[in-house]
Amino acid sequence: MSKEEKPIKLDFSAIMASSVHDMKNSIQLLLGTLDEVIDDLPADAQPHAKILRAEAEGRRINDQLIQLLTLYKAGNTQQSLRLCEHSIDEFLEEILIENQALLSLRGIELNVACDEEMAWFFDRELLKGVINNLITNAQQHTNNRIQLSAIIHDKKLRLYIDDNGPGYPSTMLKRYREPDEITASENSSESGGTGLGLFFSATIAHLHKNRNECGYLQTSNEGIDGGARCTIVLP
Amino acid sequence: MPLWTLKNTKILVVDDYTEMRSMLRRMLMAYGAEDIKQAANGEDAIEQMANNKFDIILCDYNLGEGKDGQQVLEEAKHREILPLSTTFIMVTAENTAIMVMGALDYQPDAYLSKPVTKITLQTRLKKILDKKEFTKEISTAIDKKEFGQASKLCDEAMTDHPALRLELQSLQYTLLTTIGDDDAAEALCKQVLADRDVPWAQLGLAKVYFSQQKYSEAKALLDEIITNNSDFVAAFDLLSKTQIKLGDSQGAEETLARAIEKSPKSLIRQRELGELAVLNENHSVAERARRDAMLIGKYSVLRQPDDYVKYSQTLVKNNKGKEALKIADRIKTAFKGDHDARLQAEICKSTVHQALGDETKAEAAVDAALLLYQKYGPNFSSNAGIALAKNCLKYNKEEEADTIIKDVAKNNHENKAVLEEINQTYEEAGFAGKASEAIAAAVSEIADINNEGVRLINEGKISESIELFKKAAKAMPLNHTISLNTAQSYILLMKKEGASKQYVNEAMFYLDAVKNVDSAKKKYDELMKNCREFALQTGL
Repeated sequence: MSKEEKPIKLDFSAIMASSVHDMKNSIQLLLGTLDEVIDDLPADAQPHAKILRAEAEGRRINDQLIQLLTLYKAGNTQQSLRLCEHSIDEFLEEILIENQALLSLRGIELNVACDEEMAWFFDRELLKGVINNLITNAQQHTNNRIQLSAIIHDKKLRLYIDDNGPGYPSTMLKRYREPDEITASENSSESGGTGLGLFFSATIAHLHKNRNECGYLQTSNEGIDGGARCTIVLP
Repeated sequence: MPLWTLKNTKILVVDDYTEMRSMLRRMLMAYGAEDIKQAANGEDAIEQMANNKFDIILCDYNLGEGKDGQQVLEEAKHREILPLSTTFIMVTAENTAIMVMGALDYQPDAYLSKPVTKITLQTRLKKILDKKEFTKEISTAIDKKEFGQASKLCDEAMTDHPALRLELQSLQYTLLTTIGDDDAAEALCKQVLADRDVPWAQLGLAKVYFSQQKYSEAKALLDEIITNNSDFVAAFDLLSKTQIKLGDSQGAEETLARAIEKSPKSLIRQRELGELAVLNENHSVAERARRDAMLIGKYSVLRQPDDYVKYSQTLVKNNKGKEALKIADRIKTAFKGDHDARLQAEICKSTVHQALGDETKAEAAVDAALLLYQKYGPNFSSNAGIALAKNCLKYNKEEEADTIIKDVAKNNHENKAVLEEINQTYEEAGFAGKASEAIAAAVSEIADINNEGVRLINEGKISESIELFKKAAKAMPLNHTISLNTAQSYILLMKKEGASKQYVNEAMFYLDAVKNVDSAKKKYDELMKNCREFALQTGL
């Protein structure tokens, strides 16, 4: 079995990985510097809305980067997960803190409802990307509330992102088992950013596997006061 | 104001990017940290870890040239400069699953994804440290080799804190494999896997099967793991080893090649691929693997002169004599002050000169090697010894060859592969049968020592038998039977006089020398079991 030398090929995934590495470092320095600016403000000064805005945009760039890299890799079936057991309460709390300040400036109340003792297996960074994405989506449609909650039911984790807006249009109410089930119209009808959000979320859910089961997304109008509810189900 | 503090915590921040280190440093200082050291690369990190005990290590995965974060972690564990009680956190920019997919022993306590912000520190770092604090008593007991105590604490904690069950189970697995209790480790893995596919438990179960020599079971399980998770590099490594045991060296080579495609920076993996490729006569694969092993070794404590020697041999094989000579010359500078390396360098040079047809230079190199052998005694590796003897025979230095062969045989009197290699070397040089004499002499010398030891034991003179075996072990540090008998004598002594911490440690020391030796496994397990019982009695 002697292997032939492969011709030199541009390894785009390597270029991508190295660029993402550099960009992540920049985001780290950007967010860190903004944190320091806030710290330097007098103790009684309200952190300036503009700084919060800049911070939120920095995080959004990060989310978009994760999304970009994930979808690229998923397209090349290179994406695999870093499955570890995490405390769900702590995970949602982290997401809450990161999003709360900016949402409250917009008059949206974000809260978390979850048992303390719950733990589950998931890829922390990717799932955070999904939830941030769904929060971004919810904040465009909600009246003034968004709630994150979780339960373990039938040996699966169910994560709910609820809002009190008008709910999903009836054409979008379904279970997304495979990312390919998302049609172009569903993608474009979803406002907020690139329109890839739902596809990204379904891809990530689908990548979460245990035994022979895959995760999926489910949309319904069982949110707050009949608002939208997006459920991420992970085996 | 933060509700918790990092005051009195020793922290090491490893990142190749200066600004990143300063930023992390300022963030940590905001939480009260005062003692923060920094390292700009993996080598520096290892050095600092060797000289200081840190409470927390924040290590970036991507460290530019040289070692990456995973290599730092593996090397630190290997050199035992990273106690379980230290919290090692890997900071990553890209979500690469491969680095997580190592064996349990080489996993960090947690991963932090960039950007690491004040919020991350506040929420995650605190939780990670809380968890670590919770298991600290157990890890400290394991670090101190107080296994009985650690196991007891583990059981108690499991009842008190069901939420941390998986964390504790992985600690318990580490514990069980350290003391070599395969049956209990198997039961534990199966219990974990009853609920869901947990990678460390899957691999752990395969490892147990391998250790129990149930190779077909191990292979079936590993095939299944890899089908479901093609990034699980550690599973490839074990599968390749299993395939070798099942006699499928071609398959083993293919498996390793796949693992290397995913994770090329492992010295051991490249070395093994080189061996397999030579065995399968795929010389171009062998050349590449051995070159890579040598290059990766530049950044690793695991490197050996043999990496250069073997690369050079493969180059000769592939008709690249001049390059081979260059590699041979590099050994001395790469391993300054190492006698075994100097000896191997000379032999290597001699072999290459022979291949290039320069007999004068070849013989001069053998003479230089012999001088070294006379000066530094029998502590050379069997590789170096046999190669030197082979070259001696070539230049009619039979007497010298015999002396060397006897030393090698004494160190390896039960290692069939080594003895066979000696025989073969002599046969090829036209001295068929001659080696058997040397080997027989060595075997009978060891038999005499063993008989004498047993006689002393039977006469109740156990301390004297220990002395005899210890002396023999010093002269033949690599001889497995002598090591086992030394350990056994200590155990007999404890059976007579009662358990003692010192004797347990002595016995463990000699058992450790044969820990990974297949042929010694049964005896090792039996003695280890005795050792554990005494360890429990002394509260170790």
